[in-house]
Amino acid sequence: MNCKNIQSLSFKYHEKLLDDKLHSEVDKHLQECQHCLGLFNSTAKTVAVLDQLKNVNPEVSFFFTEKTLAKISSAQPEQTISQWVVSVLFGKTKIISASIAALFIGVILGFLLNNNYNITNNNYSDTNSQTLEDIYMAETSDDYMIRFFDNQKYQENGNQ
Amino acid sequence: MYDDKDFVALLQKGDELSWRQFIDEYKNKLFRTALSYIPFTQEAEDLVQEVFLEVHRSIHKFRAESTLSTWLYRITVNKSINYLKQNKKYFANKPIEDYFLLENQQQISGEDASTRLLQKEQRKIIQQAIDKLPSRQSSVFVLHKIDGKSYKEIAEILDISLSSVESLMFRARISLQKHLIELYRQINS
Repeated sequence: MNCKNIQSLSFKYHEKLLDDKLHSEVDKHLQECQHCLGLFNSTAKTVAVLDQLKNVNPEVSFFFTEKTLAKISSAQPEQTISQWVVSVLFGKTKIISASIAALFIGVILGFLLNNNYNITNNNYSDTNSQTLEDIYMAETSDDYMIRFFDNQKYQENGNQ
Repeated sequence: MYDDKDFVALLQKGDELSWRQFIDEYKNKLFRTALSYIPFTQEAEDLVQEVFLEVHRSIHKFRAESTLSTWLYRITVNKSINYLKQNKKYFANKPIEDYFLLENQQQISGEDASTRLLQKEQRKIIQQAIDKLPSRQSSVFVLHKIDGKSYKEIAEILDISLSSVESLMFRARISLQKHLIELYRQINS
């Protein structure tokens, strides 16, 4: 094995993860190669320090649980959309939501009433205008004019 | 117990006693993981607190597709990586704290000062080398070598395959080796 292959095994060597054959092969190489030996020594230090880190159990400060619980109780859990809708309708913002609802209903009612008034008004004016138009049309129709002139002619003849 | 559906239901209901048990069970474990990424006690502790707040905010979404503990570690790892990314400049200028040294001073009282100093230097070097790894490699390395998680647990936490964990671990070792050689060389010269 060349130096590169040997060096790639340094962690496994120190963690005793190599089989016996490979382990002795590495040992043999290290006896002959000072460069790889230096690297293996540095890896040995690293593995030793990492092993120490495993045995250390750092602890959070004394009141950590109390502080975290206090923050949790003051925080609101994240809401789904349905929960948000329910909270808006029935939650703390009742006055705001009631005002929005009242305004919304008011706008709808206003729109409906206004629309109804216009329809009624339009119907009324439609009726009137149709009547006047009818009268006008009747008065200006050919039959009417014929009868009018016939009547005048009759009266003139009568007078004569 | 902590992965029990009934326990999760109690958390979802906001039962204070259950939340207290839950925090007490995981606070130091998560602190250790956070410290592996962020070697500053106050920042790491704040991050762990933020993890619990995040869990509280989204516990109703938890569908038990993974265990509660896996979910918790996943949030911690993701938050730690994001925190490091966002505060890269800040951490670059701040001297690394050695939270292990205090522990060792309490545990190994007979150890002489020069050995402790040497260990401190070595830990700094390792921390610097881990910081240089790509985030996925450092996550796998930290969870396995410092937190003592198995490859299977790491695969679940990071939501990747077992073979990906092995591959990342292999690459992390090689990269770390390169960085360490360079760092040791700088110190020795």
